[in-house]
Amino acid sequence: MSTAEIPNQILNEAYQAIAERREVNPAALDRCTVDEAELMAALAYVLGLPLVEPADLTESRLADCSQLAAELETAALMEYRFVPMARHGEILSVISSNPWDPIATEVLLGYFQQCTQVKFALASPQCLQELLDHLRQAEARTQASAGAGYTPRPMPVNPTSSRSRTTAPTAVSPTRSGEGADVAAVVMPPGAKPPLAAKVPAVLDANPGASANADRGAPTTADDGAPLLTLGDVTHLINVLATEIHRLVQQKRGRPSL
Amino acid sequence: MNTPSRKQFLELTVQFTLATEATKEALAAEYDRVVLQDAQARRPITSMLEFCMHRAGTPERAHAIFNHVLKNSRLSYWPNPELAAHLREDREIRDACARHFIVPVKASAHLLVMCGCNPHDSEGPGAVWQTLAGSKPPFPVVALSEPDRIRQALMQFAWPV
Repeated sequence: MSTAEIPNQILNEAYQAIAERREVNPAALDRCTVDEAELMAALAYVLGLPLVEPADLTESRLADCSQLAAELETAALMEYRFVPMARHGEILSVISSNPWDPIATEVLLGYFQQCTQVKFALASPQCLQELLDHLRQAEARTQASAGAGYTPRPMPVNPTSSRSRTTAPTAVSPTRSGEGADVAAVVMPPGAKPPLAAKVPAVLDANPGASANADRGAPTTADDGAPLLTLGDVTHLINVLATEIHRLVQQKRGRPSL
Repeated sequence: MNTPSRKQFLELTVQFTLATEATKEALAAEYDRVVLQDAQARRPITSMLEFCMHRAGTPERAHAIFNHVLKNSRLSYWPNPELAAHLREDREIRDACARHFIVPVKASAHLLVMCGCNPHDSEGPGAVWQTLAGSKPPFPVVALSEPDRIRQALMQFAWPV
């Protein structure tokens, strides 16, 4: 595991804990002698978080994670390195390989707008990748069994919510689609899900309506043939989305390297 | 009733009006009786959270009690506690866990993750940790889980028939 991504303070506390456990002076601790298992254990200890390891990825846990993660885009999970595993009222429990990242917390609260608090379990990047691979395979199976049509998950666009400003750009719980039924009605053509970054310039084009149509196809129509979303609605939604993407990318790029 | 249980009892009875000032001590005495029966029967004690959840009246209120405990604690949640397999035959650990209603879900050379349901309780994790600690004790971490799930995990110990 690369320690470069761990904040210095947390890393130092972990090494200090290891030194104390070994009953050596922290300054004299040879960090090369600390293997990954010991470092992860020390990180879990200093953060006060349970550690999820590959052996913990049981069928029942994978099922729980799949159920909650089904509301989100796997690409976003990979970018922010978390997987939701349980929800209790206002509390969301997630597995993360970087629980110290405040942006990930904000993104999570944006996705799960019923939740006000996030509790973490720590996982190594390798373990999280294993979990994400499983979710991706499950997602691929679901898409394959869904047949030719592809309906994307709705996007968390809620300009009136202060938390939605930090929401990652791609998904929201289907249970929340009632809050913005118009958003849920957007239907994209097959394969239109991933290219978030690629879409930004297109959305910011001088003729956003045209690019929206090109990217997304015609607006969905209701059973009676009347459009549920006008072109203006779609354009507005895409621009809101683009602004959020841009802001998040800037925020992430602007962070001091650790 | 030990101090951590007393703290949780007071917190939950007030928050969820499980008892009035007049009936509070009677409820506490009832809990003591239940725990005594558990100890005599050599089974895991009834945790205070479990006791309060049973007296919540409805499943929704019981869930609300658990959510309240989780929300107001710094501890994380562990969804499916299972006893660390290599400890199943360890009677000393079993007895400590049964006394404190806590289960070690992970016990490696470096890390001991325990699952309990009373965030006020440091005696339980301490007791299990001391029982397991060798020359180089593992880093202890405590998480919360639902009492019924912890009970199921505790039943994975080898109990006398």
